[in-house]
Amino acid sequence: MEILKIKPKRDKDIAWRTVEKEALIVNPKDSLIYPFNRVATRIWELADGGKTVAEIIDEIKNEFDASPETIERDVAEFIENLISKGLLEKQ
Amino acid sequence: MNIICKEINPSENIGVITQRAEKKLMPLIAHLDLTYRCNLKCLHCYCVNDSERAELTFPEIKSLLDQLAEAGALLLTVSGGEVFLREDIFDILEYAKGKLFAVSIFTNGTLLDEDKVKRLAALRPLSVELSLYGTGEKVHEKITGVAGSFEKTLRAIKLLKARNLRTVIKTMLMKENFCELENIFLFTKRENIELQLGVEITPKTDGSRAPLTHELDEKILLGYFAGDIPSSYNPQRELTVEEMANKPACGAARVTCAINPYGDIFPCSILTIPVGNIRAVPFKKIWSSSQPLLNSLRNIYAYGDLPDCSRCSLITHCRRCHGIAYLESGNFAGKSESACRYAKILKNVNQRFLNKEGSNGGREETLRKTGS
Ligand code: SF4
Ligand code: SF4
Repeated sequence: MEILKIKPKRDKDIAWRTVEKEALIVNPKDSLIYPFNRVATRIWELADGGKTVAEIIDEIKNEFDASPETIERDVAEFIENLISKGLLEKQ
Repeated sequence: MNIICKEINPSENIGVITQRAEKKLMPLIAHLDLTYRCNLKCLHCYCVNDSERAELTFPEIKSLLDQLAEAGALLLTVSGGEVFLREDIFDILEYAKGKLFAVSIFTNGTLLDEDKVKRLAALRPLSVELSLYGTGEKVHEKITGVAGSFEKTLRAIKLLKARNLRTVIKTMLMKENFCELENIFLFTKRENIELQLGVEITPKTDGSRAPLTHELDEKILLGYFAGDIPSSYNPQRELTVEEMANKPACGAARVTCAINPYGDIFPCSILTIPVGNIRAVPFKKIWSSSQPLLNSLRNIYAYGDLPDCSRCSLITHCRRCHGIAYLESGNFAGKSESACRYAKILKNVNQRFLNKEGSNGGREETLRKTGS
């Protein structure tokens, strides 16, 4: 899958804060706020432009308890969603 | 696997976020006044400049922002006075961006030129919010007290718009500029700029009630809320007794905090009872302390927790503010005479809307059409 090879990177204009492993994200381009849960927050933290989606998926598999197929599908979907909202950039 | 990605429009649904922040004692919304110096002399201004006290320096502000970020603050408003009077304003804004804050800037705009707006655009603030009191110099400057200020503010608005920055015009309506309401409304529609109207004037931070002499009288307010004049009133269903008791009270000290130019920390920008000073004690220590003021505020979740208000029949329409109640009576948990006054007016207006007599022969509609 094409998505697995890209290296997602947080957009430099996004404001965010993590408290107790849960992040709040603000996009100043449309003023929308996103409250992330723990898994979402971890993916967001990993999206530093240095790791491919495949690598992020592996990391999530190590850290969270769910079937590998579910993780692969959900993480890829989540990242695509964030790219479409302008929160992540493709690299 | 449950990965949540649901956006929230804070103007509609901030509750979801604030509840979460509250549980973690995060001062999610921080208001930082960088200076009380100003180059304008607005009639209704509530700031009192204390020239005896030194303003926080840039290194002190950096440390403050580090501490706020660590405590979980995310939405940061920088305000004043006029923030662009500080020579280090861009250093501060850049630092705040580096700390991943979503920054809103309140300014009168008079000091913004092409170059500064370009620098601002690179920082992508959440919003730049400017005060405008009329669409011509006569009325605007009657309020600001400074000749030439209208042209400069207008120039700033245009420059900000041209750079696609979220620009908000804030207009406090008072006796002196009420005549300009329609013009401002039409101007912002035409230029496609967000408009925030306000009518609730606050006493000064030292308790002086002088600004209140500019407040609109009741009859005009009634017309304003009733839509005789363009406003944003939406009719509401009367809350049940239970809903009234559960209506959330304000977030002072629960999700908001404020800092003045001298480092004093407050529960919010209007409730200016200091809970500590950042120069003496680290922010976290102040914020997590169990001093009586913080404790009492954190125990007021809803109107039902306010002894003087819990049985009031106007709760549906009340917009009371602990800070204003405190300035009015010395009791932040008490009735607020201005909130009672507005609530009565709003209830009346609401009743008219519900009885379908609310609007006023289409005048508002015509204005909206002309404007769009
Ligand atoms: S005290 Fe007033 S200004 Fe402060 S948070 Fe409450 S309602 Fe808002
Ligand atoms: S401030 Fe006044 S109107 Fe508001 S709930 Fe209290 S008593 Fe009622």
